[in-house]
Amino acid sequence: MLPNMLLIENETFHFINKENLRNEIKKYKDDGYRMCSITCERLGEEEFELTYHMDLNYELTNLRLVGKYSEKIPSISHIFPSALLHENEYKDLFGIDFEDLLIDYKGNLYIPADGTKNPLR
Amino acid sequence: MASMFSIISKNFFKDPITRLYPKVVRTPFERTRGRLFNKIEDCIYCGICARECPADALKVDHTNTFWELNAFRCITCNQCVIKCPKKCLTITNERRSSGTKKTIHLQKPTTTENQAPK
Amino acid sequence: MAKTIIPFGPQHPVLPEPLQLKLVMDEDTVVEAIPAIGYVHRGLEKLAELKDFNQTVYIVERVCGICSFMHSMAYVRGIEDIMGVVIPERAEFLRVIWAEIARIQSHLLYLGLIADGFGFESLFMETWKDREKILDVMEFTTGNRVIISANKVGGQTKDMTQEHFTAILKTMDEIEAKLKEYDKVFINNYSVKKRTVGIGYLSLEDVKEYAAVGPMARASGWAWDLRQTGYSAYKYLDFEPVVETGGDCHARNVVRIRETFQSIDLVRQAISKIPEGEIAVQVKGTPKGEVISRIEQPRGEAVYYIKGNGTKNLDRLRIRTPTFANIPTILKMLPGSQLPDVPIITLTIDPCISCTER
Repeated sequence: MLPNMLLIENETFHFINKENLRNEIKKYKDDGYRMCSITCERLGEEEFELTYHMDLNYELTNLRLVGKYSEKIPSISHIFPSALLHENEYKDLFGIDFEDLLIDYKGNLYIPADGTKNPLR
Repeated sequence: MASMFSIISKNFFKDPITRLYPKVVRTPFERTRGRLFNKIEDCIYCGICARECPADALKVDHTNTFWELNAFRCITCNQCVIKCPKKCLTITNERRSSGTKKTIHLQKPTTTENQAPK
Repeated sequence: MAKTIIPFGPQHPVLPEPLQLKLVMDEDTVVEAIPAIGYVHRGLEKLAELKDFNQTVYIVERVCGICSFMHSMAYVRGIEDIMGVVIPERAEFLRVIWAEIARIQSHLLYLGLIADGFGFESLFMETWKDREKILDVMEFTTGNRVIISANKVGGQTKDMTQEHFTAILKTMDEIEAKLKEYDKVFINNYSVKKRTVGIGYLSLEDVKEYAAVGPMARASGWAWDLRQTGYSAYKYLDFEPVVETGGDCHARNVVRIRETFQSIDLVRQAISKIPEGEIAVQVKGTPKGEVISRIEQPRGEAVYYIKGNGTKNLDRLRIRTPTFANIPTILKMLPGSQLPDVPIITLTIDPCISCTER
């Protein structure tokens, strides 16, 4: 099955919340993991879920976080600089509010100033 | 210095590698995907090809016996050929030449056919 | 001293696709670089939710024109893992043959563009002349030159006969002979070395911190190649990842040239080992579940996230392409370099901006 991975509920995730997000990611970075990708999916009218995929020696570990659109999520771009493009894209397409980004495009990365707002929500 | 002289003399007497199109036209390969062709006598206007098309290039109407292809949208992906129940659609290997009309409209052979000029 | 800002604009003769870098300059040295993308955004992830999961194969192929075969291969492998479909062995070998031919074509395109980047037009024309032979092989075997639509859920749409294999092997011999003549120009020529050695240095710690993928990581000494896990038919083939330790632009060119020779060898091995049999299986039902599918494209590792909910339309499709992960390395490589080196450094990450923005 490598390198693909089927995601099955309660078997292949660790659930975290936004308070200990930065500490968990820092622990994985110190162990030598590499950040593979961040995925976002809507869960209804008010909530979304973010999944952080970390990789070590071709095996993946997944961390899942459930949040609301009205709250701010801390950004991990000072720990892993390559996360800044993922987070700016979700700010554009879903309307999620990240705080403390390394470079902040303020919602204009893909969508111009007069385009549709939050097309994927 | 001597190696440059041999390269220059070799290139001076060689044929050009480009073709003088449109005087010399390359014969297309056997599997080349050129254009879609429908044998209208066998068509039963079921509409399966229009449902399967990923680019929405076909319009089929069962009650008025109407089959239309928008040639600008077709990507010659071969899906309609695979799913046609009567096997009346084929993809030939000759490309369409330029014309003045935008669509192809084929009807049952009682009235005249309007076709884009070849 | 006031700082000037020079836009390395979206339209530039050296870039194949629009990308804007705002360079903050101090006399002749770059102090900071801010990238801005978004000129070719087409919204393909939203379109994939409106179409059937079989029709989405044609959408996913058109994300990029250079690495198009590998995009559809990653998508189809993901859907087959959700639905539990096992495809025949001959189909796996056919996928690997077409994938390695696509990798050769992509690396020859890169070599032409980097030669054009330092003004060496005749070398650019030589490499693209050989790329035409590969595109003729693609047209002979499948029907189209660039976007070949040979994959479907459950196997392949077209088969290859012995006549096709003979034509492929003949083309491989011709390309190997030509490549041995002019790879010395990239590696040993005095003017080319003056422009690439020591430029754009990325150390091993930087590669791990910025999570670079593909030949960028392998040129700094990290042997990370996703084909080692042995997916598809790679478990029957025999190869090692190509690694260099220079870390600069010269090392990245050498890695890509050596990978082209390695791909020619892999195609010959696959053709000699291909078994007889069917090329596709019948697929019934609709996908339900989530999967992550990864593949090694010419530019690095691509990650697909597919979620299906039991109907014909997919719930979510998310693509992370290798250039998306490599762009932040520009923030590390550009500060401290001179202005004439900026195009060369931007081209060595092999940017494919239409992949990045979908």
